[in-house]
Amino acid sequence: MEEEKQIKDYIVDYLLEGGEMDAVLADWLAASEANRLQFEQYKQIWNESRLYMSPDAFDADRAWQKIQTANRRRSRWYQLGRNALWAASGVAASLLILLVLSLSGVLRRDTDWRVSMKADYGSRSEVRLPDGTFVRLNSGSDVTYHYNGKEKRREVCFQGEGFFDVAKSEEPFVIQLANGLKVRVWGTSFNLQAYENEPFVQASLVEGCIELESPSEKRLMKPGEMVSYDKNTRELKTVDGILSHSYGWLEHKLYMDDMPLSAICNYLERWYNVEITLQPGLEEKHYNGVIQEETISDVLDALSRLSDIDYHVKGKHIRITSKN
Amino acid sequence: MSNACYTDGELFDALKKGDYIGYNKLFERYYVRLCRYVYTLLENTEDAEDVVQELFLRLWKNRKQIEIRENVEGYLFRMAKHLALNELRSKPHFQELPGETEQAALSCSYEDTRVETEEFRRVLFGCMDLLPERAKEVFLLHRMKGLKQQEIAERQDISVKTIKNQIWASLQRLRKCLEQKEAWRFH
Repeated sequence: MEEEKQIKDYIVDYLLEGGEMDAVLADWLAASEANRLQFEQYKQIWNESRLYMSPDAFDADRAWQKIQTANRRRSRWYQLGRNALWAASGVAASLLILLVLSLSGVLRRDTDWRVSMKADYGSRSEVRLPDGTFVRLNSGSDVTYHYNGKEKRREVCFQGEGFFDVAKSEEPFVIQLANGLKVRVWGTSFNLQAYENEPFVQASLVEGCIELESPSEKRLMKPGEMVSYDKNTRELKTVDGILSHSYGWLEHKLYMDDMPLSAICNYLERWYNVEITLQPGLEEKHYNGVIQEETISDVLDALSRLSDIDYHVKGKHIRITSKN
Repeated sequence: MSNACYTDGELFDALKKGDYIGYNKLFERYYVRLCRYVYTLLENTEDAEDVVQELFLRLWKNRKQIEIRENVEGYLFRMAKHLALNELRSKPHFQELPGETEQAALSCSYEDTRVETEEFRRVLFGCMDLLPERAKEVFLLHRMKGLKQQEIAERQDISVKTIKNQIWASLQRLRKCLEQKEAWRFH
């Protein structure tokens, strides 16, 4: 034990000071192979530890922000290029084109995340948001997701029609709509129709729990419920009907449950990226049934068979008149 | 969505599909580890961070083209080494910089021992992370700043004797730790 203590001092001195090896240490090394091996190991630890750097020396959060900034700059140029191509090719009319996710910049935790997605008229799209929420967008819709790191809130701006599969999380998921309606969501799936140019917002809850918050009242919805919000009167009202019909568009179907022709035309305009003019007086014609999406003329044929209307196509313009 | 739920392979596949979350999770998993590794080649924390950031930018930019045959970890470390050596070469008078490192790294005949050294360092650094903060400080002050015993003693306000004891204790701990992790077989 006494010897070990002494040797230890010699070893540390040698490592610290370098230079000539003391005779005592040299003798100890020569005494046994085990001693020599042990000494080599200390030397190696000592030498290699020179390159040690504590993990705290590297700031991953700051680095990620720098990477974000650089990637965002890159993706903006990329997007510009895409948009130009898109416009030039003029293919926007074809249905079921999935738009490419446009990452309009994504930031992290303490700062924030932002992701936007859009489905133009005549197309559909889907996006998985950074929190895992999956959103399918019907034609003419757009969604912007923003993670508010300060308030630890998932904030969503939305316009159009979408089917949301919201990822479960303790952090609230809040959809802000025009006209003062907020939808507060916990892990759940529901359909939300909130086109800017429609007088009503309609929420159809498939499962889980959501809360609608208008300027004057709050309404907690139960699964299977459908509630509409009148943008003019700012009233919430329960809607009767078949829940699954509200998201029939996911299967390319339009369920018409006593639906006025004017509303059907709005739908078709978005789906097929066309403009429809209705002969005055036809707006309030109501239809029942289901349209399975095919071509726009297939759909119009079906509608004209169901009732006494005629249609005339001129490019992207369609005129609907009553049969004489 | 806990980070640990995904394997490297899953995250890499997600990245290839343009999943920014997968990309972020790979970053969180590897950024600091890669920085520590690159630091052993460049011996400068800022340069190390620059190199690893460049690595992650390239990873995102080229995500569709990347095909990896080995595992993700091996790929990332190999890429980090490649970028670090580029960085070394781009510096004027690089041969005067950490010469041994550069020479050995560039020479193919050293390749095997390099891999072993890297593996040894990885385990050693892991063991050093476990040292008590104070002991680590003493152990490293000398290593990194080339201070003499007396200077360390003054800085830490402890006796030279205490310093020697602490260094010795750390050496023993590290040797034991390396033994447990079977790191000595690398040498």
